[in-house]
Parts: sequence; structure tokens; C-alpha cells
Amino acid sequence: MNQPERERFFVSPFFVFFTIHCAQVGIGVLSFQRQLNEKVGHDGWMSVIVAGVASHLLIWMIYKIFHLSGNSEDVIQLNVQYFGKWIGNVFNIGLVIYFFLLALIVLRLYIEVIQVWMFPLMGTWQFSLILLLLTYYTVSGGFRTVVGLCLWGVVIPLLTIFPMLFFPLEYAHYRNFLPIFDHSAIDILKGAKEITVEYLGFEMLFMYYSFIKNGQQSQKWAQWANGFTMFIYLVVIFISTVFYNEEQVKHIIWPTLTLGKIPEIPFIERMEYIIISIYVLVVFPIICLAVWSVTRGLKRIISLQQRLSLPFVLITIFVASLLFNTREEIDKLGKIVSMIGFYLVVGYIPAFYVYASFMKRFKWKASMK
Amino acid sequence: MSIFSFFLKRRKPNKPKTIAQLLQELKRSSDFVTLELQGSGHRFLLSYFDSLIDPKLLQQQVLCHLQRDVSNYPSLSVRDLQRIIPVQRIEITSDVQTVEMKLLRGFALIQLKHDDSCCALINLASDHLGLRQNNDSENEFSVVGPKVGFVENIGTNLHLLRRQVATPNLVFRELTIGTMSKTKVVIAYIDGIVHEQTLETVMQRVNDIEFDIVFDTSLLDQLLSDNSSSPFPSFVSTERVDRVVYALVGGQVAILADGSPYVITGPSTLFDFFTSPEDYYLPWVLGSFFRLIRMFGVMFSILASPIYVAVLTYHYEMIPKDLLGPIIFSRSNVPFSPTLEVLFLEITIELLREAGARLPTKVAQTLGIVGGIVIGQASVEAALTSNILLIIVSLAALASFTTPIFKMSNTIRFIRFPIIFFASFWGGVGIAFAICLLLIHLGRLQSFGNPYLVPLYPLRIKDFADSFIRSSYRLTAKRPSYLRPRTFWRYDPNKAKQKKDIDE
Repeated sequence: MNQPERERFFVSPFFVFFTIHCAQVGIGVLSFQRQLNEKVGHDGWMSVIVAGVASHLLIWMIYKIFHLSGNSEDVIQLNVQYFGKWIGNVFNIGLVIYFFLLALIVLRLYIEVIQVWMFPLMGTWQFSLILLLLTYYTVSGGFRTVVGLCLWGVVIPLLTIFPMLFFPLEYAHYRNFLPIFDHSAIDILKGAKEITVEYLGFEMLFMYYSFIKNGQQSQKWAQWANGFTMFIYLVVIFISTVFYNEEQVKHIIWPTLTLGKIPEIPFIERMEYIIISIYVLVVFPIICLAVWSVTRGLKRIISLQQRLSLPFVLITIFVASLLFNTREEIDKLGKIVSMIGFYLVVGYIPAFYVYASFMKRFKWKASMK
Repeated sequence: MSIFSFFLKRRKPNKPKTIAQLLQELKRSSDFVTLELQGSGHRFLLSYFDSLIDPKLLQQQVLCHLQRDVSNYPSLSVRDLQRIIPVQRIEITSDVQTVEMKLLRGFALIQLKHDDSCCALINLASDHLGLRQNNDSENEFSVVGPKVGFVENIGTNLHLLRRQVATPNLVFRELTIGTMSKTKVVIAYIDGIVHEQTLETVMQRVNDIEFDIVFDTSLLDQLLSDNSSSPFPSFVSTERVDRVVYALVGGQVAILADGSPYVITGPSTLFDFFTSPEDYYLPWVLGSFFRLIRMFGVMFSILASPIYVAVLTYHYEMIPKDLLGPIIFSRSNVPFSPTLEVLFLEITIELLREAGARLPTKVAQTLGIVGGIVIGQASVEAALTSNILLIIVSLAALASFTTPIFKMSNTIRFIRFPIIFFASFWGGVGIAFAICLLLIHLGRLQSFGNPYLVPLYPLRIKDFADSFIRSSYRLTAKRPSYLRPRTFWRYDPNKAKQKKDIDE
């Protein structure tokens, strides 16, 4: 398709804020306090900041890679451009598998939350089926529809769920923060490693970069999005630190949801039901973005039409989601996906960046001679 | 030619008819009249449809002059008739197609006996016969503001528009649609404001319409819409003049059809359906307040009964202790599940509405009282429904009628039912699923290629001045940018913005 015709499908740079923020804040924000608490105790907020700054840097690197490569459309082309057809496509297939697993784990984790909190007896297949049917409807509408959903996925939870988090401050013990720097720098870095997973999501920028009008200009919004994610995580960690004591958090799987039990208004109690319901809007855009990335990746690698690959991808996710039934299995899958994601952003992106800038300099020198 | 060509029906080429043959054909109908007149040596044939022409015009303008003045022209040709008959539009033609068309539109045909190849067509149509003269816009009533509405006659409608928009840039483009009805359809826009691409899309879509009889613009609405299987209307259709003028000035296109008191304006956005002209006649604070009330009403109307179903079926823990007492008390005797209870009441209300709309006004009033009060009260006493649900459902019904555009209020009444089912299957999560589906659907919808959810998505912060709230006229000097108008300023904002210091 030629360029002016494709422009119809582009989104303005501003929307990168929503796609990145939406992809970052996912199911993890409900439960990350526990892992963080194990490593750094009440100093968790420092780890949040360290990891946030690191992801600012990584986003900058992604934009720099695109800048250095000239006019590459997405990571599929970048890999082939820098690593050749064979090795490049191995990376590409790895990325597509990662996005697939991402969609799967987000779906399965959310269904687990529903099953534990609201419908213990309802089968996985029901929610999986309905969510994937909705995903089909969204992704078949194209990238613009997915971005539209991301917008709602940011705005509506921000207006409804976010204010609810502040109610527990009524019972806050601000002295829980003290003493500051109770843990060593190594501990804080270990905590940062745990929390980096929660910042994952911006790597999908690699796939939809070519759908942004004036790609490079959108960096500002991408950084704002990451900053905003950091802000939200800081608020969550702040409130849970002052509300729970360290021992308590160890025994709660979803501390954020438990915070949702606190607010009370005259005609509604147990707000966490509302939070879990509205959380569809948080989780669903991530699944859509990931599935879109998978189909887009397949199209770019083996030129498979997205309309054909989409049903197959969704059916595969559906079947796969039925295979993970116990808490241990889901946890294991989650650990694997977050490990892949962690090494993807911390290993692959900086290495790629160094390699790309080296190549640039090398070529420059070669041209000088 | 393929071997299957015999499947394809060959179109017979229409044999060219002569005027005599045409007249012979038309004479099959008894209201077609052919008169033979004689005056000072000339012989005329006068043919017309008795049912279409105005007999007064025929006598005063045609017969009278033909009999009196023809003697002044010794060698009479058809062209001389233009001088003899004082009617504004006389056409001289020999084209059979035109003759047929015009005869069916209420023209009279005059032929000279000695020269019947050429003939004159005189407009004697009685435009207003059988049509109402005025419309008080009772279906889109507003307390403040003009109450002039469009009528079935397109000439009157164009007059109403032209009178309010006194600029040469207001352009009407006429088309004929319908193989049988040959309805006159007019596309109105203001040149220099409307975006060319929008106009092009509209013209092309209207030109592509294939249909037999255009009964109303709502037919065009469905044929033109971008996604015909969506429950959401693609375009605003209104009978109010001020609404159409406002749309035109904002850079939209209006489509009028003869015989229809409703005018389509597009491209529309979701917000257009929730704005009432009255918002602009009231001070902006009040206008904004009522608009917000209306939007809240819509949300309430869509979500109230599904939430009732979800909470009472699955999440009864959410009800606080103080509220639990009354709910248990009112529901203790009801034998149905909340879903059935809600469906029973919702369908009762739908029946009342539908019956009220089909019956004569006076009967409908009685019916409303009988239905609303007696059935409601009786069904609570018979323990078919709970009191609380009765309140919720009737409030939701009330709220759904606050939508100014009838089509949209129907949509709102409809989409409630799927959400009730989602809620009864999956509780609160089901409602969230349904909302998701709704948002995606709205995000995918387009109206003449324009996104439907604008200014929400794509986000246009500046266009929020006239969306949820109706800002002061100082802030709405600029036209909304999503329509991509060619000129942005509606009026000089600097003059409107001028602020004086205290005591000056």
C-alpha cells in the first residue's frame, strides 16, 4: 500500500501516551506489592523510581534505534536490516511468540482474579471466549479501533478506580515509611528488577511505530506515559505502605484489590467488585494490542493476511488459556513471561541500541575513508 | 461473451415513443384529460392530468388567454404561446421523455393541431393540495425558541432555510431519486464552510442510491448510512428549522426529500443526538446543566436495570445493611429471579410506549395512566415485581425520553436489553463487557466517513467547548474542527470576547 493511502490508518503522536500507558498498567498493579515487599520491605517506592527511570531510558533507546535505522517501519524490518534474513527472523519469531504469551498471561491472570473474587464456580472458557470474541471485533477494526479502546482503558479506570484508592488513607500510618534507606542499594536494585515487569508494555511500540504520524515526535508522549505510569505505581505503593504493615502484605495476594474493600458510601459496599468489573477496561486493551502485534508480526514475517491469522491466533489463545488451571501453573507461566519480557527490554533493547549506533559509526567511518 | 451469457437477461432497448403514442398510453387512466379547443382558425390539443393540476390556474391563465389573444397571431407557432400565456414557466420541447416526466408532475401539454412535433408544457401543478401548510414541531418540542417545523412540501422547506440563511453561499443541489417515485431530493450546504471531501462523499452516496419509492428521508438515512446493521443512527434527522440551520453553519450537509418533513443532517457525532436547540436559547450555565442532566439520564437509563440485575443476582454483598432491609422486604414475596422480574417490567413499559404511539392521542393519554399507575401498582401488590424495581424501571424509562432525537431514544431503549442479558449471565463483569462492546462499536462507527465518537476519539480538546457542556458564546466562535470546515470563524471572537475592566 502506498504511503498517502496508508495515512488513513495512522494515529496522531498524542495517542502514544494512551497506548503505552495502557499497555504498562495491567493486571500486575493489583499484586506487585508482595514481591516488592519481599525484596525491599517498606523502601519499595525507591525501586519503583529506579525501574521507572530505567524504562524512560529504554523508551529513549527504542526511538533512537528507529532514528538510527533511517526509515525502518517496525522491529521486523529492523531485525532483518541489522541481523540479516535468518537471524533477524529468528528474533522476529521470538518476539511474536512473546506477544502471544503476553496476551495469554494477561487474559489468564484476569480470569483468575474474576474466579477468585467473584465467580469461583464459573468455567475459564466462558470469560475466555467472550473476551476473545470482543478482541476479534476490536482487532478486526484495525489499529485505530485498538487505540480508541486504549483511550477508554486509560480514561475510565482513571476516573473510577483511581479515586477509590485514596479512601484507605483514613487508616494510614505514615510512620510505616520510616526508617528510610533501611535496605541496601543491592536490595533496591533487586526490587527494581521485580518491578520492571510492571513497566513492560512499551516494547509493543516496536510493532506499531509505523502507525504513528511523525513517529519521532511521539517520544515526548511516550515519556509522559511512562512518567504517568510511574506516578500511579508510586501512589499505589505509597498507599499500601501506609495502610498495611510489612507482615500483612506477605499474606495478601492482591493487596490493591483489598484496598478496594475499604471505601464505603451509603448505598454501596465492597467496592472491589466494581474495581474488578471495570478492570476489564484495563486488561482488555492490552490483550487487543498484543493480539494485534502478533497478527501484524505474522503479516510482516510471512505475509499472512491479518484477517486470516486473527481467528487462528485467537483460537490458539482460547485453547491455551484452558490448559492453565491451578494457581501454580498460572504463576509459573507468569514467571516465564515476565522473565522473557525482562530480558527482552533489559538485554535485547540496549544491545540492539549499542549495535545499531556502532554500525552507524562504522558506516560513517567507512564512508569517510 | 461467456457461455453463460444466456443467463443474463438482454435488456430490450426502449423503442423511442412518439408523443401521440405517449398520449395514447396515458389515456388508459381516466383522470387524464385531452381537450380540443378552437379559436380563430387555430386548433389546439390540451392534455393534462386532472388530478395533478390546479383547475383555477387552468381557467384563469390558460383557457382564458388562449380564447381571447390567439386571434392576434394569424400564423401561430408554438413559440408564440410563451407570449400569450402569462405563466412563469413554459417549456417548448419535442422530447418525449421530458413530456412524460412533466405531465406526471402536473404540467399541461399544448399542441397545435397542424404542427404536433413540438409542444409547450405549462406548469399548472397544485403544490399544496393535500399537504399541510405548517408544522409546529411537536415531536421535537422546545419551550423557548421558534416552533417552525418542516412540512411535506420541499418548496416550503427550502424557503424556510433560505429565509434564515441570507447568504449567496447557501447552495441547493437537486437530484432525482427513486425509479418510480422520481422524488426530488435536495442537498443543501454552505459553500466555503463545508469540507469538499465530505460534500463529495455525500453527493456520491446519494447518487448511488437505487430504490423504487422514497417515502421519507428516514429511508435515505438507512440507505446512506456507513454501517446499516448498527442500532445507532448515523445521521441526525430533525423537523426543526433552527437545528438544520445550526448544522449547516457548523459545516454539515443537509439532505431534504420531497414529501418528508424530516431533514437529515450529517456527518453527525454521538453528541449531536444529545443536544437540544433549547440549550442554545437558555443561558449557557442552564443550558450546560440540562445537557449534563440529559447525559446522566442516558447513562442511568442504560445501566440502572442491568445493575439491579447484577447486584441482586450475584453481588448482594455490595448492598449495605441499612438498604438490605427494604430490599428484602419488597422482594420477599416475588417468586422470580431478578432477571425475569426486570424483563417483565421493561417489556410492560415497552408495550405501553408502543401502544401509546399507535393509538390516537386522547386514548393514548388514558392508556398511559391506566398502564402506568394501575398495572404498576397491581403488579407490586400481586408480588410480581418489587417496589424498588418499579421505581428504577420507570425512572429509566423517563430518562430515556429526555433524548431530543427520537431515533436515538429508540436506540437507548433497545441497547438496554442486551446489557440486561450480559448482567444476568456474568454480573458486574458482564456489564463491563457490554460497555466495552459498546465503546468498541462506537469507536468503529462512522458517519459519512467521519468518526462518530469525535471529539472523544479522536481526541479534540478544543471541540469540548460544545459537547458535554454548552459553553458561553464567547468561547464557541470557532467551528468544531472535526468537520474540517474551510473557514473556522463563525463570528469575530475579538468583538465577542471584549472584556471591560471594573467600573469602566
